[in-house]
Order: sequence, then C-alpha cells, then structure tokens
Amino acid sequence: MYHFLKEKKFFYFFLILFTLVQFDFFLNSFIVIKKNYSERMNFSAGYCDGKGYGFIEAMYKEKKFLENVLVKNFNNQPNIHGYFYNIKKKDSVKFIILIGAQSVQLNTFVKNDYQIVKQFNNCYLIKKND
Amino acid sequence: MTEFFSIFFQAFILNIFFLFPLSINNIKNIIKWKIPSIFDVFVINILIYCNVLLLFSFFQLSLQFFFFICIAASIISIFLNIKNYCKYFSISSNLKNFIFFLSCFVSICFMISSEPILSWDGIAHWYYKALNYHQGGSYEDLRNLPFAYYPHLGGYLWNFFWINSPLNLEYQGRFFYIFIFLSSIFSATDQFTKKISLHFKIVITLIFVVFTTDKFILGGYQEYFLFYLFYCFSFLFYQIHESKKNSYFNFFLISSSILLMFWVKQEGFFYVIMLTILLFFFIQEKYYKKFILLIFFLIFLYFFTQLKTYFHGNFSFNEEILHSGLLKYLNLKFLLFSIFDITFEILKAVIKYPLWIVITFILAITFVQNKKINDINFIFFIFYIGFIYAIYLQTNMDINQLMPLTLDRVLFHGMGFYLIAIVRFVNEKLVRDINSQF
Repeated sequence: MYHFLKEKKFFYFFLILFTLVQFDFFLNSFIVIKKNYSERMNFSAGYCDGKGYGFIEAMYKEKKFLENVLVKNFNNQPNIHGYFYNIKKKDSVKFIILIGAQSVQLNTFVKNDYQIVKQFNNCYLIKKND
Repeated sequence: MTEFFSIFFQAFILNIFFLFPLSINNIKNIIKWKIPSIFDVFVINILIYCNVLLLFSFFQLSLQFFFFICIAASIISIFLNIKNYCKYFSISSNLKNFIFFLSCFVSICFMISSEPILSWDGIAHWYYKALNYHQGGSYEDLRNLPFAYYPHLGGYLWNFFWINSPLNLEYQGRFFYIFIFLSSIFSATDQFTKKISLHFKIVITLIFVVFTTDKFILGGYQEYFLFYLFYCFSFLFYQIHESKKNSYFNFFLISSSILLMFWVKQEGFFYVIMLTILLFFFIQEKYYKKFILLIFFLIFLYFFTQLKTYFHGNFSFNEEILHSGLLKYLNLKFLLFSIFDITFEILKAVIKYPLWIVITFILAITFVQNKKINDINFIFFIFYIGFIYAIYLQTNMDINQLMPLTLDRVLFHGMGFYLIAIVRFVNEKLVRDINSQF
C-alpha cells in the first residue's frame, strides 16, 4: 500500500476521483437511479412553486387537451409550456394554466369570464365560459 | 436503472459517432504541426458534421437513418484503422488522458441528467428550435414559434442527438454541447510540449474544465457552441499560419468555423465580421488568395441574410442597430457613466470566469516583452472587448438590468479563442526556461 501511495499512479487516480467528486458524479448517479425523469423534473422545476412543471404535467395528463394550453407564470420564472407544446396542434383560446397567481391576478381572469376548473394552492386551470 | 445505463450509452455513442468521417490517420494530413490526438479528430469531425447538418436543416430528412448510417460507417472506420488506434492508445499518456476525458464527460452528463430542467433562455428561446425539428417541423415552420429570427443550428444539433438517444429524452441531446466543449479543451491541452508531464497536463486540463463548466449555460444555451467554434478558428489559424503548404480543405475548415457562427447565435454575425478581418490581415498567404477568401465570405454572408429574409420575411436583430436612443450619448457625462458601468460589469464577469484573468495576464506579459501590438490575440482582445462595449452602449434597454443577466455569457464565448494562446504561452516559457538552464 505504501508503495502504491508513493507511485505516480496514485496521483492520477486521485485526479480522476477528484473530478468525479467535483462534479458530484456519485450523488447525481444516485439521483438518476432513485428518481425517474418526471420526478426529477418535478423536483427541479417545482410542482406549483417555481416553474410549476408538476402542475402543468398533471393537468395535461388529466385533461388530455387537444390543443396547446396557454401557461402564465407569475413566480418570476421562465414559462415552461414549451415542454408540453406540440407544433402540430392549435393554441387553445379556452383553457389557461396559471402558476403562482395571487388573488388579484386570478380575479382579472375571473372578471373576464373565466371559471376555475382545477386548483392546487395558487396554481389554477381556468376555462373560458361558453 | 435503464436511464442510468442509457446515459453511459449515449456518452459512448457520441464518442463513436465523432470518430468518422476522418480517422486519426487522415487528420495527420491536415494537422502537420504536431501528432494529432483523438481530440483533434473529434474537433475536426464535429466541424464537418456541423456543415452537413446545417445543410440538412433546410430540408426534411430522416435524421435517424442518417445517424445509423454514420454510426455503422464509424464502426467500420474504427476497424479499418484499428492498428492506428491501438498504436495511439498503446502510449500510456494518451490512454490516461482519454480516460480522464471520459470521466469528465460522464460526470458532467450526470450533472445535467440529475437536474434536467432547462435554464431561462434555454426553454424560452432555444428549446423551440429543437422541438420544431423533433416534432417533424421544417426550417419554414420555425417562423410560427417564439423568437423565429434566432439562428437554429444549435437547436437542430440538439434535436439530432435527442431524437437518436436511446430513451428519446431531451437532456440527452444536450450531451452534444458537453462533448464539443470538452473536445476543445482536451485538444488544446494536448498541444502542450512533450517536456510537460502528463500530470501537469491533466491538472491544467482540469483547471480549464472546472473554470469553464457552467451548469446554467448547459441548460439549453448556445454559448458552448460559440466557444467551440472560436477554438476551431484559433486551432486552424495556427495550423495554416505555421504550415507552408496548406490544402484547400484547411481553408474550407477555417472558413466554416467562422461562417457557422452566423447560424448559432445573433452575435455570430458580428463574430463572422471580426474573424474575417483577422483572417484577412494575419494569414500569410498571397494577396489574391486573401481577396478570393474575402469575396467568398461576403458572398456567403449575403446569401445567408437573403436566405433568412426569404424564410422569415426579414433579417433582423433584437432591436435596430441605429436608433434615436443613441443620441443620449451626446451627453458626455452619461456616456462616461455608461462606460464605467459596463467596465464594472465586465470585471464582475471576469471573476465568474477566472480564465479571463489568466488571458489578460498573458496578453499583458506578451505585450510588455514583445512591445508590439500587431498580434492576433491582442487585436482580437481589442475587437472583442470593444464589441461588448458596443452591444451595451447600443441597446435601448436599461443596461443596469440587462448586463447582470447577459454580459457574463457574452464574455464566455471568447475564452475558446484563447485556449491555444494559453497553451502556446506555457510552451514558449517552458522551452525558454529549459534552454536558459543549459
């Protein structure tokens, strides 16, 4: 063991190990094995907080929209509706998903003839009345 | 667990893919100034593929078919050149360096895999380019998506590796950006003189990698692509500059490293102009050849702008280059304050990317020792920093809001240009020190 430590090979292995640790290879591998893609997206982009990935994904799964639904994010985060966007579908004028909407922001939609279809904390799926 | 193995598989496939069309043996004819490394093979092959795929992006072609053809051809090429590869890897330092490359590559791949969400502009602008092609859209269809006037090549390549990834996952397409950036760094540090030990080389490579790895930028931004193209330019420039006999293929490669920038980001248009000027003045060729090259560049630039106008209605930037807002700089006090703000923000960005401290230090030492301003690295520095000032003085937006969000990224591109300059500086200093000892 002493001879191994004295050898230059040790330095090389140490550098490789340092690189793996520097980029959190072991932790990241563990995360990839433990959580699937959707869970990791939910974890990093939030369910209703942050980018609201989880709520948007849940609405798309539940409602099976035939059109691209407009998403409005009030959390000062980028709008991630591109993840669910289909270039071959039309943009919906009926449904809107609101992420992190405060009551004032929600009321502006309600006043404009929208009704709440689904709510989770301050995330909403709203629908224009026919 | 399947996803875990698919990440390794995708990383492995990228390595195989870029060993074609040129093999290590072919590269010897292009790079005459040193024995080519496997990273030089990657760098040159990526450049060739970028050209081919740019052409493909204007037509609706089956990317899966092309991908499998290339993979098959690459495997055949590896078998045909097996002796050369065995000879290359029989040198312990080459093998160790490649293993180090793989460990960096896989580690960074896992870094973005564990948190695959895209960054701000990644999802707001660039993702739509990849998505369009992923869902079978054409170049023409891009105009129906947000920021249609943004260049599309990065998104097209992103989709190319996304659609051909084993589990068809978006983030695996972004491994391409990691691959091109690591190939650039390893290709640069492979040019350290043989007098430098492998361990020193690996430590320097690690410092480069750590200083330039930015998880935020890997979230869909195009900065690594420009970083790579800047590296290609300087890499090929020195090759052409120092070689007495240059083939037309070398000129094709350096021209494409410049012209591809136009299709990566809006800034690319200005980088094309900058690098064309540098090439024109610094390349040691006959004047008629230089003029032919210049005319070739102008024709292509005109053709590209016309192509964009044809498909997207006009060729535009985020805002007009000349506007009435520029009159505010007639107030000298306001101009000086703006310059001070930009300088302060540049210094903050330099701290974020400390490689710039090394670059500035090297440029300063070179200038003090040689006392000449007529050096490509020095002139590029003036152009590049001048360009950053020009961007923020020209914009109509509030620069105090804009700069903290964007300036560091603009500064990031240029680091690719100086990788070789750093390595050559170390080589020259070391050789001089060794000679002075005897």
